[in-house]
Amino acid sequence: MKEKLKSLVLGLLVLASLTLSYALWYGSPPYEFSKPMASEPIHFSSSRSLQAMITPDRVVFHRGEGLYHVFTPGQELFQVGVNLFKNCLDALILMKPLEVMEAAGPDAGENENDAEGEEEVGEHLPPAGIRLDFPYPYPLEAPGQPPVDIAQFFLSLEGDEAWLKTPGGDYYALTLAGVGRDLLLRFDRAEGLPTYRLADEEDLPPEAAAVFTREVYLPEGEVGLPVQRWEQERLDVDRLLKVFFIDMSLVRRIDEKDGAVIYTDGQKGVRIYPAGAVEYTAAVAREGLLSGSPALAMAGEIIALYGGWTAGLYLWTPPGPEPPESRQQLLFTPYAGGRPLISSEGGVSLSVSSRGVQSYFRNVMLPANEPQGEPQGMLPLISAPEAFAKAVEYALQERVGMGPLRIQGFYPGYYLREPLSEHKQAVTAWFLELEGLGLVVMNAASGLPAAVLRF
Amino acid sequence: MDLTRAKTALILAFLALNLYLGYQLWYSTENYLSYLTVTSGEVEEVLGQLEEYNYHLSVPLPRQSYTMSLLSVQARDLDHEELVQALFAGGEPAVQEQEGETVYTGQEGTLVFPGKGRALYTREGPAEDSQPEGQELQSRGEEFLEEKGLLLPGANFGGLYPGPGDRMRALYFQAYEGFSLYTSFLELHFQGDQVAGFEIYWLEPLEYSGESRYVLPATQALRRFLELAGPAAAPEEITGLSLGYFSRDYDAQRWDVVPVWRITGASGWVVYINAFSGEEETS
Repeated sequence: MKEKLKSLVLGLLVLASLTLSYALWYGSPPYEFSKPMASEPIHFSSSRSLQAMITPDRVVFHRGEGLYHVFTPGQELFQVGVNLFKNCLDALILMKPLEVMEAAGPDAGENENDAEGEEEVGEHLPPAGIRLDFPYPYPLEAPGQPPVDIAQFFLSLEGDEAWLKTPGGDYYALTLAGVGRDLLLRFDRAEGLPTYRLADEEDLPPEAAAVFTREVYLPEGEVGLPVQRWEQERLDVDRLLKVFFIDMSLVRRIDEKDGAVIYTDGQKGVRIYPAGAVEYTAAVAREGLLSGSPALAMAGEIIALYGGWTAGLYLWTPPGPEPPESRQQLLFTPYAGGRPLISSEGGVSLSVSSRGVQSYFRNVMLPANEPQGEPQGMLPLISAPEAFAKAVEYALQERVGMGPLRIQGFYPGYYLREPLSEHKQAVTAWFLELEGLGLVVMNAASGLPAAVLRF
Repeated sequence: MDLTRAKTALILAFLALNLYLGYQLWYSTENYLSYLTVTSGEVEEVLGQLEEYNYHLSVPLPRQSYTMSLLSVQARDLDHEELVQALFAGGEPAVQEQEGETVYTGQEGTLVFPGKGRALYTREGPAEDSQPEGQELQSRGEEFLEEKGLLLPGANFGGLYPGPGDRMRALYFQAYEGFSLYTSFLELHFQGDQVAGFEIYWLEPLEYSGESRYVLPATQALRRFLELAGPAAAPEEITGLSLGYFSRDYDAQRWDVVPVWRITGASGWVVYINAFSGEEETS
């Protein structure tokens, strides 16, 4: 009898355990308890440091006697120049202020636009060397040295003299523990490089009210750009949304009539354009937007998080009404083979506050093929002096800005037409940079003005 | 083998297992209920806070908990022909296209279709010699809708309120599976005791979107409302507190509407609190 009772109790206990297990397993606990926040790696790429983001817009190699070579982001010798610069900073022993000078650089004495003080500067500035121009000041924080921002850095070809210039125009002579000679030699030994000359007043249309505010280099001889195909970057939208929104169950979707899709939780919104561009805005006050190094440092992380750093994406500092370090809107544009792809709504544009990203626009085009170096793969451009004169003339005719034009750059690249459309098209162009204003875009095939871009 | 001892060991083992499982079940249920149930204490606390802020709740405070999802909608294609026939039975109205709007004008009034899902009708009303009371006005309105065949499917009476010039308006919301879509409405405009026009913006619910989750309880929505509105300068009466769907109206192909708590005041104000996030939804 006792055994029968035991068997019965055991049976009941087994049944009870099955029932309880079922209730636990298939019961529906509230969402909040059943789905704790998951943490998964969400970065699209690794982030970039401030130092990695701030690059020069050109590396100028002066062989002496007015013979220049200019290298731009994405070109091999550009990167060699940047590495050389970093080596020099690592080897920095002493930084000594030079006399206050109005103009300086390896070009001193050669450009008519250089102002007074050449003789004093000339003693410190050898004619042949490598110069890096930073449109966005590079913050130098070397141990034992006062923090300074670098607008230009120069190293003589012999490696025995180096100086830097701040955005305010102060010069510092640098004493280095050593210089990467092998890197310097790569410049000296390079052959068949395209040559440039300094633009001067003779390149301007007659009686043009224009001045040079920075050295402008014009490529000599026939100029061509490699045939370059660009493709729209396609991001994993679901993954991107998980980065923008912590709780996806709060996110509603709006399908617009133009084919764009908006995702919003009421406080922030992401718009995915039909052609693939992404726009994010947060409904927080615009006060407290950051600029300068704090903003840029955050941008390095934000881009990694919201789509990632692509290989040719560089910080881009077009001329604008504010100095670069005061700007709250940061721009990044893709380069291929050393040439930028510029448009009114392309690349990455963002602003940040101490609370995070305030606005973020991403319309990145990726080089679909390596530039073809063969002659048949080159697109001929109208000559640099002709394009330059036409661009200046157009800017003067259209009265782009008040007073004399302040020319700060001129270079070839690609211009993206209709950047938000699915039928966007990249064409070769010459870009004239006007200080404080923006860019005049000239179609490099026809020589006709294509656009005026203001930033 | 000693079967008796084995049975005893098994009984003890299963007993321990059942105790553990029972505890787990009790724990999860306890937490579940504490989240979902609005206790009497909490209700009293919120009512006290409302009094403190000079508000008086004149409708029952819902204590149920709900799970809801987002709801995908699109603007409904209104049958223009049907509306024209219903409103202009006496003759052929003149038709005009004006800046993307279709306008029908006749002796019976003017009917405008400003966009998908929308219609606006106005007509000359009678001299305002009488203003019936609420219930009567509602009946007049519904008689008009019935006569014209405009009683849209799923339209629920949402209240009467004074419009411009103190002319009364009657509001009907579209209902979907037990909840009102506050974005989707039919509004009757009265002049005296007659309907002098109406406005329709009607949606078509498509499907639920995203995961279903518990919405904030009404008490929490009221607390959030107090945070947003702050204390009232003069005593205010809260005349409505209900759960439904809302979003601003988009000129879009399709969009999601969110669960909201709709809080209305006697003086005509309306506040929508997102029932997921507690943020205010603006129109």
